[in-house]
Amino acid sequence: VVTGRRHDLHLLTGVYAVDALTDAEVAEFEKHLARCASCAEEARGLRETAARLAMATAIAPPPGMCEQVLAAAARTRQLPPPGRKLLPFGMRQQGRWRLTLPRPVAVATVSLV
Amino acid sequence: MTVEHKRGSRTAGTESPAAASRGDGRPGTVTLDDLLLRVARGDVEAFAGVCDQIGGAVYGVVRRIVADQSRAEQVAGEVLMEVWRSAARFSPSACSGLSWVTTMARRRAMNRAEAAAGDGPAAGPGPSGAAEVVAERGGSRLLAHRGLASLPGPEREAVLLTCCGYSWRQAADLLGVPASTVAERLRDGLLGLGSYTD
Repeated sequence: VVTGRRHDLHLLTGVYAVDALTDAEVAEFEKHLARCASCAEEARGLRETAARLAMATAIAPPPGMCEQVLAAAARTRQLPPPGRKLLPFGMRQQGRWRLTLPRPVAVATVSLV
Repeated sequence: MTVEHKRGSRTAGTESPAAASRGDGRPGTVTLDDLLLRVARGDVEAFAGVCDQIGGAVYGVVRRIVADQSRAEQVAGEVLMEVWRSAARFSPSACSGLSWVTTMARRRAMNRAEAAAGDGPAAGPGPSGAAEVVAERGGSRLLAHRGLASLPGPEREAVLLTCCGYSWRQAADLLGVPASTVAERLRDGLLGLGSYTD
């Protein structure tokens, strides 16, 4: 998809860094990055350069934009870190020793009364 | 406006987000990375600092890609909410916080621009050159950027067009050169810009 000759791949660090490739092209180039440490390092550096350019050319957001976002954030739940799933209700932020009874047990206890 | 990058630094978060928002580089200024690590722990005040520091960068990136002002505001708001929601996935060892956030902004804006029929970068009668594209999208600060201005014209054009959400192939069509030429110019342009820090 990307382009024929192998040495051309090294020139794609810039277009990769600024997301100017299609998804299929990205997938193919990332295979190359996995094998080519110098391209991976260069792509990372170019992405940082693009980020600094974005900062230097910031545009003042419309008034109220950040306030609206902050209000929305206050009522929006955050995602857990990668690889960690949300714990079931009642298990959050407690050590194992503080766990309440598993639900089926609790139900069984109640039904015995 | 500058943002300090101290990759991996973990200074105690005793300064207020307001101090960070000044971004004046004084000792004690909270870095964006540190703020993001606090946001990952649900710190709303730190998130206010993040919005202060990079709200303008996010809006700028989105505005140049989405073009329409009110939609740009909406999409920039979505980006900041994505920062809030997924802050626990930010890894300072992988990239700077600024790079993490602006990449997120660019990708979301490009998805939105593609999804909106007739609002994509390549739609309409078509501009005649990179400067015209940028001028239509509130890009005056891009056009005034000294580092960009110092680049050779073809490299500058490649950077400007991709800042406006053009794919390498769309840029190649507009410029009438092969896509591989755009890739090479963009790479050279970004490498040249690397020595500029503001």
